[in-house]
Amino acid sequence: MIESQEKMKESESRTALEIHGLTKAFGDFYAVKGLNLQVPKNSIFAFLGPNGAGKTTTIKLFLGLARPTSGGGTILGHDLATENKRIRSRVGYMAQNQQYSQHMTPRQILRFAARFFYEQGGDEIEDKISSLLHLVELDRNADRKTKGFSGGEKQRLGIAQALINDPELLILDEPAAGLDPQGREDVLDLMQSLRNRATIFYSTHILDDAQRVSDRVAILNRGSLVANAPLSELLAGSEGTVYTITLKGNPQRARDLIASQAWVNSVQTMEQNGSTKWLVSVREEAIAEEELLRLILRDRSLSICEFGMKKYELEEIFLRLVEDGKNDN
Amino acid sequence: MTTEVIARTNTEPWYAGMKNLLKREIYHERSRMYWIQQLVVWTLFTNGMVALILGLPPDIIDGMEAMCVLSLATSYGILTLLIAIFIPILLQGTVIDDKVSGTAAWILSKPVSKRAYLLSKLTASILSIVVVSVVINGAITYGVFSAFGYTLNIPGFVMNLGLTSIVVIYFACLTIMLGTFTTSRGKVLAAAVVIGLGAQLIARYFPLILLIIPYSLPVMGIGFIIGTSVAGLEVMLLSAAVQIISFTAIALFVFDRTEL
Repeated sequence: MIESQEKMKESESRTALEIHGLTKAFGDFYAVKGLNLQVPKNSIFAFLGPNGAGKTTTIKLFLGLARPTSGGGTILGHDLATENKRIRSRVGYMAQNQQYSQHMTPRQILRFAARFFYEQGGDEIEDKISSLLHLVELDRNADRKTKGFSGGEKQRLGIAQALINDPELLILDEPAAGLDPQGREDVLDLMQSLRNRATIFYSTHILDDAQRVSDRVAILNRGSLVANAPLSELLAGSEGTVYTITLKGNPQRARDLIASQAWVNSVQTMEQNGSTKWLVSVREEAIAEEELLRLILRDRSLSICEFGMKKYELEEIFLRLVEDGKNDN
Repeated sequence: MTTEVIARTNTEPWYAGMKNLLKREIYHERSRMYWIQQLVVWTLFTNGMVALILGLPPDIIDGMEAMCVLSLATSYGILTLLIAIFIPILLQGTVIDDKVSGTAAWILSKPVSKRAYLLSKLTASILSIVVVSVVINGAITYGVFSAFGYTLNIPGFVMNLGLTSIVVIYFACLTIMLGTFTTSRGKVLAAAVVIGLGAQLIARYFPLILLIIPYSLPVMGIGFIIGTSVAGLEVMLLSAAVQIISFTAIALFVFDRTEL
């Protein structure tokens, strides 16, 4: 018993969020299905998925804005179902397309948000508000009513208000959606700059953003988790290391030789404008590094135009996983 | 940032954050111009009519006292009608707009209880409408009577303003309760107006319904101003109190189960 409690405490100290079997059903429709998730502390965690995958519903379950059908978990060591108010006092949240009162200025909105967490106003709170407005580059518009604010300004205001309580976990729902390239860039830079301040859990369907700023990625499709791994692991691909080689000449003998090696998984061949392209998937990278090129060059009739390691893009992995999900259904 | 030295508030009690929410509702949700426009509308309809009647030649109506009673009856009659129509119009979106725009979700992502959130909305709505439509509008009414040479009994006049406030509270609670059930402004408006005005039609055939819906309180309360007895007031007040508490309890129950 004591041992299991200690294990739990140890796990809590390493994870900001730990979810087990979280499910949300609306009648027969499952918006979130048996979600298991662990978000390490001080990571930037991208929660990816196509529109309607269940990302926002999941976030609402975290914050107690919706009730789970089954399952549960802890956030910052507090139980999702019974200690939700405590969770909300330690978490910062920015909703998707948040609308703020048009009669209020950013400074007033931050003051309003601050009063939920701090005893009273005063110079310290005002300093904090000013420094947050500076951080999100809204200091010049701090006392202008939010009516007429651009999408980027609203998103940055959303991040500022979410940071007002110095949250240990920052939950951002589609922080860069609907922004122009400059607005997106600003928001992503801001997220990068917050890396040392809090754990960031953010949902997005923009794969480039996820690839740019995340440490870890979970992919949700139709309410179910289809991937959950560090970004580097995900980008390495599930087929092991894959080399791409473009050759000229007749490659058949060399191909047979490569395919017969114990450390090779498969060799895919494609014909391209008079040259041949191979995708060689290998089991053991170290041997491949030493042997692959040497074996191909044994055939002196071949010339090698290109030799390299295939780099996966998150988009490719995402599309494959989402496609697999469709086929499974 | 010097956050460590700023004392944190106790977020545990159910009412935590309510003062902050009240302040926002009263000062920031609607502009000052909005409330000035409201006052102009309420006072034009009620006091405009009072001034018109009081300005009639005295020989048309049998004496000043009859003129005074007629003006009071007209003023409070119109005021009650406006309350039954305007309050559902003004408050139909109070809960719905926040649910639809995501504002409710944003606020409730802070350490605030749903109970504190809803009660602050209700309190702020009642306070602001009572101040505009009852207190300031009533003071103007008193001024209009004084300008035409009528001195109204102040304690009786204030008591009647209290009764009028109960009608405001009744319709505010009813409208906000209806807003917790749906996300359609139209449905809330239709239901509130049907309850308010429908009762008037039904009362022609079943007068007892007027004891259930506190619609007649302001007109009955004229008795306090002119110094006559007011019969049946206790039953109506009890009925109003039970309904106001029920509407509030239902609203809290439904909103607590609402997913945002």
